[in-house]
Amino acid sequence: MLAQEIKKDIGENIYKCYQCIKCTSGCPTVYAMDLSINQIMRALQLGKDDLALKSKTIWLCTSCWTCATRCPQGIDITSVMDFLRMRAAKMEIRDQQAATIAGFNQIFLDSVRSHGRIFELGMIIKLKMMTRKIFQDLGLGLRMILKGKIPFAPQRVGHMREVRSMFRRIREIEGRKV
Amino acid sequence: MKVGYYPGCTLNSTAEEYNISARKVCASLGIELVEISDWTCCGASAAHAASHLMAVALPLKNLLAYQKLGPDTLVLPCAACYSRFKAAAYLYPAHEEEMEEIFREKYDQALEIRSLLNFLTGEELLRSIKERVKEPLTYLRVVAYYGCLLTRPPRITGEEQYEYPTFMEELIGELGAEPLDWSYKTECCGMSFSLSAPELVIKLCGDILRNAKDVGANVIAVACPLCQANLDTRQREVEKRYQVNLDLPILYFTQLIGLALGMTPAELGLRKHLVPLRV
Ligand code: SF4
Ligand code: SF4
Repeated sequence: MLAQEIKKDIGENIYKCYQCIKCTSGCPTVYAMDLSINQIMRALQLGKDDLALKSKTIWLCTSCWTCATRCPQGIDITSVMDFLRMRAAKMEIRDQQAATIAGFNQIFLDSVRSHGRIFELGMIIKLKMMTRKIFQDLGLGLRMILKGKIPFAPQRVGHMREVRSMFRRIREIEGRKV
Repeated sequence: MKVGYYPGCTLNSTAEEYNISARKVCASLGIELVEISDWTCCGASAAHAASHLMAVALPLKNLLAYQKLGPDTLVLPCAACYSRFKAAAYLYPAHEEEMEEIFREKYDQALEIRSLLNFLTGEELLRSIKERVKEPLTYLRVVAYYGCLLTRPPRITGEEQYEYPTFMEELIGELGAEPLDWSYKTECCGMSFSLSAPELVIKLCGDILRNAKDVGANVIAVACPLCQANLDTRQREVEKRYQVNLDLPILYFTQLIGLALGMTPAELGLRKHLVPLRV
């Protein structure tokens, strides 16, 4: 059961939740979610893991820390959302909005892996190729380019070897765990 | 006074004017900002959603470099970087062995990690800013927008005022502007969803911008490049969607300080914003 793995992995006890709904009341994106935050907690308590993992909710969470700050039971819900995303990333994501958000996370990390820093223009182009929404935000993009806000070349970082070895060792450690 | 300074990716690109104004203001206060040249990305909102180790390792790589630099304080202008650095330092003890395997060195945990806003509004520096005000901003009615990451969660940030902070308002008052009460100061703007889910950002920014307008603000002060970008670049769409006229310039608090200290809008990079400040 995921609730038990969450306890083991990040030390959060889902069973402490008593459905006060404070987390949901303060969540900025709950209006667009399919399950509310307290429903996710309940699903985990009941062992309905798939409900949580296949929800749009986990991808629409912005990690704003509001719920984790306010939960009277001291549950770090924001980190629970991270945990669920890591698990769900290995599954197929059907909802398009959720898939775009998940795909963008990947594009972001690829940028860090290859440049050491993020390269906005490269990320935007990859995102457009992924979503095929070439024209979305085109006008805004142009206005930002005219304001000199979007550099055309990635920033340069020395010691890229160190960055690569960091990512490699992380992969090694994570590989040992599973 | 010398402090370590980690600008973060956006301050070298979309938020150049935050970097410029932060440096100008600090220089005029006699603060030397020391930056390492090969700092790397903190992982922002993507790393912690992908891997626990990455979430700690990416900021830690920089913390290890800054701990060798000298100054015992590290200042971060970007609220998102600040949040990730604080979280990494908080989680470090639980991952000490793994981090040593990755970096082959130890983090001594002695660096004091502070947001630029928190740093500049400390008692002494705030007084020093007040003494240097040449052109009070009496023409501005300002709502202070902290965003979600600057104060929360308190067990990681150590911030005492985390739901309804007022330290930015204190600064705004000292600059001669009028700080206003409102209810969206620590709400989320949608952060990194600006590119991947713009419709969400338009709704969240719509709520924030309209409340600011309703309470009578003519400027929103921010301390985060992601907040600035969302509120500034999505404002036109918000106006269209909700059929309202907003015209609210989104200024970094460092730009406000700069203006009050007598620096020019051009020096402070004000022209980079899409919604202009008309003075
Ligand atoms: S705030 Fe905490 S206790 Fe209340 S419903 Fe949410 S998770 Fe459960
Ligand atoms: S951290 Fe996520 S789930 Fe919690 S309030 Fe923020 S957006 Fe909602």
